[in-house]
Amino acid sequence: MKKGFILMGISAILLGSFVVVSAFSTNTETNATATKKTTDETASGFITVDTHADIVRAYNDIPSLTKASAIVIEGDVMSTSTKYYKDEIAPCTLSQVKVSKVISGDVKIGDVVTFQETGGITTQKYVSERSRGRDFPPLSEVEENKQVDFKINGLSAMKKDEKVLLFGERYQDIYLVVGGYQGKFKVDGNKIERQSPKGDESFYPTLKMSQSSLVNEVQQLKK
Amino acid sequence: MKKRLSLLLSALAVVLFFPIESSAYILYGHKLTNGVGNWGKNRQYYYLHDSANQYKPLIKNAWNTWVNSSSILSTPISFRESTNKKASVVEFFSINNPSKKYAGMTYFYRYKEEVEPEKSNWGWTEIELNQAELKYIGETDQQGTIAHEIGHAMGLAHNGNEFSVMCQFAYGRKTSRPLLDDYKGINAIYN
Repeated sequence: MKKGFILMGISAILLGSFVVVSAFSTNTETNATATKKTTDETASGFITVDTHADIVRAYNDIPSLTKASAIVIEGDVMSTSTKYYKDEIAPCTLSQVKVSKVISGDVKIGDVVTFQETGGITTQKYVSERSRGRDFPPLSEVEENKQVDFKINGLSAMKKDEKVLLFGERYQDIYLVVGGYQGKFKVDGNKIERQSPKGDESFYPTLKMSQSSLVNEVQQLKK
Repeated sequence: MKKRLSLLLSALAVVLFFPIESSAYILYGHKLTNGVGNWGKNRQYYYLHDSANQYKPLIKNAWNTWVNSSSILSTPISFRESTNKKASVVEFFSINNPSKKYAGMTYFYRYKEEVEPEKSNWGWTEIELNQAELKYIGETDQQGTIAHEIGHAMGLAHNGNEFSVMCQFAYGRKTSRPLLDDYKGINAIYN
């Protein structure tokens, strides 16, 4: 009986220590991640602006991405330009993507297709003009021309010379990346992977896989 | 005795090998410069741009769920609507843009610039509601999106806990109002 109480006491102490250590390590990891990202972003040379968005439709696997897409392609970003909507804060990026592989859809290798994403490169002047709530103090010419990388949930829009794999949905005469950033994969040789939105790392599926697996899966689904 | 011992060891194994979610909130590490109301001693204000008027009742309800929290956990949040834009620290407006795949977005500002909440405190925020995406969800969930963005404006980041309003709707958020962990997060920042 006495032994039982001792055992229970030891268990309680172990359990308590574990909970405390677990709470402490969760917070530490979160801070470490934030610090690392901040340093990386400063190194890019842009002022970075990061907005925090609530998305309502998740595309957590290849079938849901495929179902929502009109084309699935691999390509190279040839050029980008920034598009502005009247009375909206976040700019958009139009990327000209030269198709190097067609996985699905009515496009050919060598075609150049336009993709639109929210976010992108703009200037401090634009940021101050669009902050509709307040009057910014006047900016100097140098301040006005400072470049700003306008991110969404920590993710940048496409940049020139990037190799990407895209799930695109038709929108007017261009394509949108399915689900905002969810249909965009980085290409590294035969491997592809989505980048995790900031803060979502622990539950956002990056869908890392080989291109050949993706091609098989998409083509099966499109049959 | 043996039975009790094996039960205890099994319980220990469960505890050690399955992680416990002790605090589900995640903070940016910075905050709204003048706080969130300091228990009514320094009340803060929000402002509705004309474009957001259609969401006025939902915005009011969403604020109420943050302010009237005492049945779950008291917090220092004290906010009221104002018609004075410059006196407010949270502003709402809405757009209708189907090319933007976001139901709500929060932008953080301080003197002369828009900022990242992981890098510095902010003086005010703007919350943009996108009608083109909100139309895909019911009113209760729309209110959840507004409460979610208000959480950002006060300093809470996304998390993966379905029972936190800071979980994104797309990732299975099961509440349209802040719950215990969300209030704990606010207290961790402002208490």
